[in-house]
Amino acid sequence: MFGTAARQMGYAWSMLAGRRFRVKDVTALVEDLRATLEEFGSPGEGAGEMLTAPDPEMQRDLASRRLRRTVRLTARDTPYYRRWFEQHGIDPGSITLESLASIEPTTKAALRDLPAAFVADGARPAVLAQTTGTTGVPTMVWFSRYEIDLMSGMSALALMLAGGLRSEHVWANCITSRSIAQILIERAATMTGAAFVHVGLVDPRATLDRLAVPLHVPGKRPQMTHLNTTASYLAALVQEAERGGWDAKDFGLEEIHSGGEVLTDALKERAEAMFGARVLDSYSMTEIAPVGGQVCGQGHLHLPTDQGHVEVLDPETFQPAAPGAHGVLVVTPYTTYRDTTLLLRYVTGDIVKVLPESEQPACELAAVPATSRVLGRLSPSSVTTRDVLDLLQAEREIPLPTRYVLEETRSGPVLHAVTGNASRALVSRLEERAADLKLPLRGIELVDDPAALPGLCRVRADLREHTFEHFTATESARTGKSALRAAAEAVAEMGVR
Amino acid sequence: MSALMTEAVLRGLVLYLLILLTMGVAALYFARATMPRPPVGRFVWTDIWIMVVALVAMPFAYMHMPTGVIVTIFGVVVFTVSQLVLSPVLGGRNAALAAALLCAADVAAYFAQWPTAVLVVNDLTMILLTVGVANMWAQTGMRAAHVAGLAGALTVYDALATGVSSLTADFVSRVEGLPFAPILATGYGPVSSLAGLGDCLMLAVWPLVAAKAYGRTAGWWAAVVEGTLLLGLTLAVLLTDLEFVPLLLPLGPLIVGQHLFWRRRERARALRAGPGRVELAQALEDLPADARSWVALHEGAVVATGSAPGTARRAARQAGVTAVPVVRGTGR
Repeated sequence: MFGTAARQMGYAWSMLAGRRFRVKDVTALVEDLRATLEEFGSPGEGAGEMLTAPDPEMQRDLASRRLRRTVRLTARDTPYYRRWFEQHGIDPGSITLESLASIEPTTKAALRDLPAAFVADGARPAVLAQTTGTTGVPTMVWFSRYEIDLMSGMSALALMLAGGLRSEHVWANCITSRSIAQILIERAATMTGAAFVHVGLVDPRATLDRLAVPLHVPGKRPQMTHLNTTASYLAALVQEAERGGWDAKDFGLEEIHSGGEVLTDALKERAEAMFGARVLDSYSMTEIAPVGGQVCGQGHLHLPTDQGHVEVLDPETFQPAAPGAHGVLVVTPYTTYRDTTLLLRYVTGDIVKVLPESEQPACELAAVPATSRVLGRLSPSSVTTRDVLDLLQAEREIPLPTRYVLEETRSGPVLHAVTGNASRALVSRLEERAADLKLPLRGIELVDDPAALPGLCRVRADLREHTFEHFTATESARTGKSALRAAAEAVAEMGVR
Repeated sequence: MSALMTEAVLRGLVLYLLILLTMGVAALYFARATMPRPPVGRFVWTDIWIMVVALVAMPFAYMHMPTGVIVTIFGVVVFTVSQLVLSPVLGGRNAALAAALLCAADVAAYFAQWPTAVLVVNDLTMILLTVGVANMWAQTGMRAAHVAGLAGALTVYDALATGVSSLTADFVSRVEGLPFAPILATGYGPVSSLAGLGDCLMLAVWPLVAAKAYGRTAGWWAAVVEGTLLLGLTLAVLLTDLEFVPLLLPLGPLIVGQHLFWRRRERARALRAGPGRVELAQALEDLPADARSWVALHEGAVVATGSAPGTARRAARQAGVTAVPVVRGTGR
């Protein structure tokens, strides 16, 4: 208890001062929390305050200090920003929260073109993570061991305190192995005492089989309890599970964490019904780690301000987006957490809507600044990815993961979507709903084959890894004559009782 | 029997009952109330060593501190622990108020020179302090081995400080009659009858931790052993001319002995319980190979088959097996 108290004080001091953390203390604190949970089942009073400073005024003061330090160090230590500040004759020391807008936002292209220019002079790069590159060539982001250790430790604390992850749980990961999230979650989950399985983005039939398989190892639940994946791969799993005759009782899932892509209410509900587990929506991105957000019960995306400065800017003018308007998330991760690839005002490309003044959150995360959920990309005709997915995923006839292309024409956008069974009735329903949703679509064209789309439709579920497993026709069809009879026959044939 | 002797017997017996009462209140509190605990952290061996070092060093420090400083230190401790122990019962604000009143009464009685009032109020604070600290330890994860370790270390200390040297006697003569003096007493001066806070704490905490670690029987045995020991020592003090008895000299080994006894019993019971995960051992029995290479077993019987582990599990569910079966390959 005395040692834990000392480590907590050190942790709080780093949080308040905006200085580097002592990773050793953070790791020990994770171990202390794990031991506390194993002893008592829950943390003591005031545990939530370990993750964020609750007082808004204090948060603003901290944000101001962290931002100034981040700008100063980034301008001093990285070739890209050093040159930019010199060229524009701006003193990095003069930048405050109020004058931050004088720094030009950093585009994804700038980082992708020369990642080394964003790496600090004194950095000790250890891991090169990559984005998924669904919009083109992957972006490379260097991380140091300090960053990996710190972010893993803080993720572990968050998973235990806010996520309820315990040592008896088994966490299955189905995300690309190249992202920083893969490395962090593997370390964080095991730090909590939970078991970790990297299932990978394999054939959904193989993943369903893994999720259903009984484990029977000491101290763990009999089946995997947590699944972490992207929305499109979750959609692929839902589709395959429905097609293959799987039932929620076949799995031991308790929570499904979805991130990296737009998760619609329709898909969320369908996944919850299929797997019998709560689906949680979150936001994160390799370039801006550890900054991330959580979607609350009221459907807002809450982005804590203690790990980075978050702005919502007009995608065209880069001026602050007005309440109710679309805006792009622009993030500056603080150097308290990042010491290798340093970014100022990084344009994520992810569109959200600024909450109208009449829609202030009153949820469990109300103290944390919020926007709408991530809406994806914004088309020239102001149709977002979420608009289209909401429209299409409400129809069960349209296969998952949803594949579509929004073709811009002179008279307006035409939506081309893949469906297994195109019918006039389906098109009519979609057109009616599009009109109800006030989507400015000129027309809807349904095709049977993704190759027939007028352009590429890349989703993260396509980042498929191969296995040597061979899947035949669905098992349920073969046992369908009578499951009980089939089992009885098997017992009789094998003579085992 | 002389009047002085009668008073000494009376005081001794009342002290005995007061200690039993303290142990009883601590146990009742342990069963009914949950003290606030820090967000992260549980009792570990480092805490024991820090406490031992502090316990050994503090009497020496107190001997050289001004009385006002000693009283202030004890007062802060008494107020903090009292309001912590009362808060689950009275609520946070009322607990703070009650603790403040209690501390104020102790100080007021001292300045008003009401020795009996000082004695009564101080005993009340010591009971609260003992109940609070014993529960704080027990409820923050103090293990039986920790209590045994602490008891072992304090046995050596008590033997030296009380039995061999005059440290305890000097310390008691310095603090008795002062507010927040860390002693439970039924009299000061020539007819003094008292027990130190450390003794009370060890007496109160061991039954709680023993019950938590080894079950209620162990907790009751701990209480009975301590009650018997106390009675014996009380009689020994009354019937002989012993002045200071190092209570932990017999109590420490008794706690260590009980811990070793119950721990051995637990281990023997665990061995008798046989190996765990019997269903896996059953699943290792030879199975005839089948065209479909995975089988699901429940209670030793094959209940379903499948071409993959997950599908065999699913077939078991479809066959009406609600429990999670063991799934194994058949070598094909």
